[in-house]
Amino acid sequence: MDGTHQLRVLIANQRSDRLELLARVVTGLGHEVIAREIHVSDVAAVTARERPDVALVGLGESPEHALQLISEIVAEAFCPVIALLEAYDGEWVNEAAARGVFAYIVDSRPEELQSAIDITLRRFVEYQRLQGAFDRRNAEVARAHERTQTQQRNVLELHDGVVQALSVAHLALELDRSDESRDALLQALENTRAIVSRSLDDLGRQGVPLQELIRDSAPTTP
Amino acid sequence: MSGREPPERAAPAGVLICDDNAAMRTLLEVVVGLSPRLHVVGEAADGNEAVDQARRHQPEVILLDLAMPNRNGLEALPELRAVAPEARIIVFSGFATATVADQVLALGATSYLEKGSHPDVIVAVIESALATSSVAAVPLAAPS
Repeated sequence: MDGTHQLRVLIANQRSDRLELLARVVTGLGHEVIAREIHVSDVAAVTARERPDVALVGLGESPEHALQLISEIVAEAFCPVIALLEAYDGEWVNEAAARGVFAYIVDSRPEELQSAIDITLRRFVEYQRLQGAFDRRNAEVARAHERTQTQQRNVLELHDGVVQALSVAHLALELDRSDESRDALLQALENTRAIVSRSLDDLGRQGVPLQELIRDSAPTTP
Repeated sequence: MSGREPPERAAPAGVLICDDNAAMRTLLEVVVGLSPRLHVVGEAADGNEAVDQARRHQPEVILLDLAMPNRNGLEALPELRAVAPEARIIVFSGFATATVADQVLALGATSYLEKGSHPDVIVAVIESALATSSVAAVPLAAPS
């Protein structure tokens, strides 16, 4: 496969002859067939154990059987399922979609089966990459959000320290206890300085030059 | 402030002071001492100590700071209400009234008082709270 990675594929079909054909096609496309299943009763356990990247489920003799296979795989591993039909069946496709099927291929012409599966699996790999990029981006955003929130909480703690110290200073002043008032004012000054230092550090880490920061911290001329 | 005179009491009402700032606790003790109808029965530096002290002393009034370590005032409030059901809980905090008053009153506080209030206002709010039933809220007081 050019530019795509090898997928670990589970194939399932009630018809064992179709299962063999499907295995050859998938292997021929450079993917690995990690399990072949016929029975609904086994497919859930195999899916849970093998954790395939994708499952190909063929519509065999019984449409209901194929739907049960899809339900079992989707429920067990959240593994995307691609359905294979020999002829288009709208009602069945609707039911399969309701059960969580990712895509379907109509393989009425066996000679086209390989290219149909190839294209679908390539699209799936692209989808997986986009999903991966999307998940990574989401994780980055979540980490950035957490960092910002931690910074805000630290600043809130410092701000509250200023309020506490000024409250003590004010109450002490009202009670004519000037020494305690002075001590509390010095504490408030200390806390305020810590807030300014932290802001300078944060902005400095973001690449803002010190000269700019000093200029910004000066009062604006009216 | 309701303007109602507090009822005559045989003994001064017990006040529990809960604040993580030691200087603030000392000053509040002085403020409470301004009124002959009040006296301090205990002090606590966090929410856990506040609950222990309230259970032990059954104070008539609890002055409760919100931003405290270990267990803050907001977290301790429901348990304070439970262990000292007769206490009037006055939340005394540096947060602006508009930010937290509704929430603390909903949790069972009797009143909310911003830090920065004049000592006379603090005493008046405590005495006003004593004139109410333990669960009724009294009008909020802003700093003088």
